[in-house]
Amino acid sequence: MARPVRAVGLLRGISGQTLVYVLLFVILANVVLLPLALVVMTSLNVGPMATTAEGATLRYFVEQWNSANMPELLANTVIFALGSSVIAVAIGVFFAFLSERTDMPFRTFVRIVIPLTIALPGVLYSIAWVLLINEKIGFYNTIARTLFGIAPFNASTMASMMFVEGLRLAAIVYLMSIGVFRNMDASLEEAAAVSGVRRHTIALRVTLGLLMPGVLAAALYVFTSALETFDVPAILGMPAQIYTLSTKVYLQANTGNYAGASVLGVVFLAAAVVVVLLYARAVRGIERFSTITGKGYRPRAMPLGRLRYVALAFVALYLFLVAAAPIFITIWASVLPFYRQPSWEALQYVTLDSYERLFETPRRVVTIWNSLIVTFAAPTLALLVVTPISWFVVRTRIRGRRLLDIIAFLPHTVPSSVIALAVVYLFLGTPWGLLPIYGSAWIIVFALAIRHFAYGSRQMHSAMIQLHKDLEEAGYVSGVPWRKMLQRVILPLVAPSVIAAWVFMAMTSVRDTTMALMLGSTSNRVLPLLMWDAWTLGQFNDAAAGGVVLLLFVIAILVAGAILQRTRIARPGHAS
Amino acid sequence: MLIVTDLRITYRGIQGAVEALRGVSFEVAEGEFFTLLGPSGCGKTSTLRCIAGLETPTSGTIERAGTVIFSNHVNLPAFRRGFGMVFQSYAIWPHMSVFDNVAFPLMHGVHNMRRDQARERALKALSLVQLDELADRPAPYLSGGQQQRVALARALALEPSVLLLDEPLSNLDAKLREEMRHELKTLVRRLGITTLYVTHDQLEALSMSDRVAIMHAGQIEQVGKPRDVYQSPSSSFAARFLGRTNVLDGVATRNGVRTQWGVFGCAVPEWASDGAKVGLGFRPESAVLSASAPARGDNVIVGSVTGHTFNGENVEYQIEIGGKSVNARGDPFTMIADGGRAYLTIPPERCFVLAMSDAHARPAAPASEPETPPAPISAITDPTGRLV
Repeated sequence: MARPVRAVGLLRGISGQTLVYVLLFVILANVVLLPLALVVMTSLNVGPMATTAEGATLRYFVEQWNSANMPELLANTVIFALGSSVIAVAIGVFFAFLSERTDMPFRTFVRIVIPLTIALPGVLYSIAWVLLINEKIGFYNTIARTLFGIAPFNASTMASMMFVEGLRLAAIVYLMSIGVFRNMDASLEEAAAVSGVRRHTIALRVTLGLLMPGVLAAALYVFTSALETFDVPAILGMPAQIYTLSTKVYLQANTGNYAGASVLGVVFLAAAVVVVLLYARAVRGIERFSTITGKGYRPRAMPLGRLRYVALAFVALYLFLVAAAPIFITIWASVLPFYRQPSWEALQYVTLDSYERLFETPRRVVTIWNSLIVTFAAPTLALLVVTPISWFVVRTRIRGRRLLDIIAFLPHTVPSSVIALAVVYLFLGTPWGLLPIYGSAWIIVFALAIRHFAYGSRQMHSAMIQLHKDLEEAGYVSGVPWRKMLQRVILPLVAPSVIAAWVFMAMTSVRDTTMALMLGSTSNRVLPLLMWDAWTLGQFNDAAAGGVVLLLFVIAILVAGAILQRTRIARPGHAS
Repeated sequence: MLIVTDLRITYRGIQGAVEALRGVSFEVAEGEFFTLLGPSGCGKTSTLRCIAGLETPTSGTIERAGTVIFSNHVNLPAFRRGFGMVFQSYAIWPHMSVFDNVAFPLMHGVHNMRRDQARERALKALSLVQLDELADRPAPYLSGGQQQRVALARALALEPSVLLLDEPLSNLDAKLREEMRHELKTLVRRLGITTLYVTHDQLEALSMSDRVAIMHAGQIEQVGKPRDVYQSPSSSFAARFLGRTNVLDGVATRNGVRTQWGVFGCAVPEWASDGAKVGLGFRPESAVLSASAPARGDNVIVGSVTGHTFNGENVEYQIEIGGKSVNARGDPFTMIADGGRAYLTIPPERCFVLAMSDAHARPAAPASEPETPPAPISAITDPTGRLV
């Protein structure tokens, strides 16, 4: 006998809910599982993208092992990721400690500004660092040469790459660690003190012990980021033939060697999965700890005395290195017709030519337009898919809802370059190719949306969990139909989370280099690709001008998000 | 008027089928205050949610004022059932003002009222709970007790055929709970509104209700007036769940129970045949306690005090009566010292007979906890059914 659904959301009947579920499942299987399967298949020389007709073979694995110098490539990738994470954790945790547990001046300001540096686009940042520490033209080298007669820096070394990437990731570690410091219950330390434990023992055994899982999670998180990052290895490393997996996948795909790119992709994927599993374990550790923390209150700030200002100087130096100097040198490069070191004499050449050129030819105007499409469409598309999934997972008891969740989260483990590769295959090798978006900005939108599924679904999950089920049911019982509840109660209440998620995804979409390079061509160029092209041609001014416009994009997104949130909070809802 | 007949819910989960409701039937008369009382997991909230339309029973029928709203063929969606409900969490919409919380269902629900109509109705409801002064305040800026009143006003404004209350007082502190208990009772009495109340708190159930249904493991154990269910519980579970009970093993006779402490006169129910093993139950406060032998020797047990607790308004004694310890309550002005002799007189009308088979069974742990909503993301702990 057919019975109505054991409905939670009170959708009409079984059919509607099941239908939406099946639809979501089909979409996800098509855009997540199928493309990844294609990558694995291509690496084995089977499927629509097989290089030769000989059928399944491990030949390409052997070939890559030899030609791509796999041991060295893997070692480079891991050393780079490890080195940058160590630097990031050292700086990030130190600053978190300074701003949360000491009486350093301007703590509130520091808490806002350090996380803001995350918004800086990676292309701009990497190009700027080359202009600062290149062996010949690097500005820091010039200064050192005039002062001490030496040029100590070289952009194209592993050490520089690790430092530059680590510096940037430190802000993420900082952001993740202040939460850990803040959630730590002071009474746990005080309990140790009252029971007669000495101070340094407390610091070592209690405080550090409590911080450990959180810090470890942050470390693993930035390690994954560094593992798959593209900008720094591409712009600093590639000129000196220092490759990581992500730059190598790009090179192989760019030269049409799909089998080779897929082999590297599979290796990359395997490595990433291991790290993500470790991360999941570490996060579980935090949750276990956080359940212990009760109604804690803030611990007393440690008085630093004179050192307060030394601490502040450290933070200031960091902000200078990671944001102020890169932004300055980019703007400087963008207003000179040909690159010169910053100096008073060079000021006479200042011109806005490169900005004019950006808007001169229709092809370049299209770049701006494409970037706008990517900014708006990628987060929107991701949220359109992810929101119903979260609703299913959190609100219904439909069988198989976990499966949706897992598939949506899968892209989190997949490096960007592998997703890009997979999307290429999807459009070149399957009926998806009939959708005329290959070669347009929409293919980039498509790939970025897949990339955002994991982040988006996490955000929407927590938004829906916070929205207590009773708030919905109270409406139904008092005679309000579902549609009205959605419109008047559910959406307004989840809006802040949706906006926050949208802003973050928009920001990371517009500045994404990997997708821009791997899926872009002259017809669907976006800003990062324009910068890349100009940069490789030695047109520093055009690359820098693109960077400045990109930065303005990011700032505009952040400001718009902030305004949207503020007006929402200022205006209480009305039933009318 | 609400009639619930043979309501059943079976959840099919990974661990197999779990019967959360096993044939629940009851009637609530027009204007009656009816309470479902039971421990957590007994199915009381599931019953309420089925009636509200928030959960779909596996079988059974629900009728409201002569209309079937749920059966094998009918399943009226929640928003068309015309009930009002107060949630345990209050479920106040945090992005709306107090007034909007009450007016929103009136304007956008099935009533579809105009703004001025809704305004009048909402303000009237708010004045019933003395919150009309705070109508324009954002809802989150209210205390717990005030939010509770808003939730009540929202339900009352709908002028519902039945008011459903799901443990509405359990989130309030003790003092406020006592006040609200009185206020709520007075208010629904005055409005003459039919009320179905769910609680695990026996004091609330006894003091507010016209009739109480005691629920246990998905079934109703006993229905009756508060005084009846308390003073003559029909099952061991009812006896133990409502207040405390001493049980003495014995054998039924024609007009009493024979125990090792003597024969106790009391009303013997029909099911207890002559010679059947039964339990003789009495409440700690039923026994009349004295330090010297009472004039009449019927229904008296002699024991010695082994311990006592002074509670202010009374004294709770533990009394050893030859191999068994019973509880009795005495007045705080005539204390019996520990080790002293105590006489317990139990008037026949204060005794009740319990079936022996279950007289010593502890109140069974519920088979499952379908009342607590499952953790949202966890699939494993989810006791719910699949979709066919």
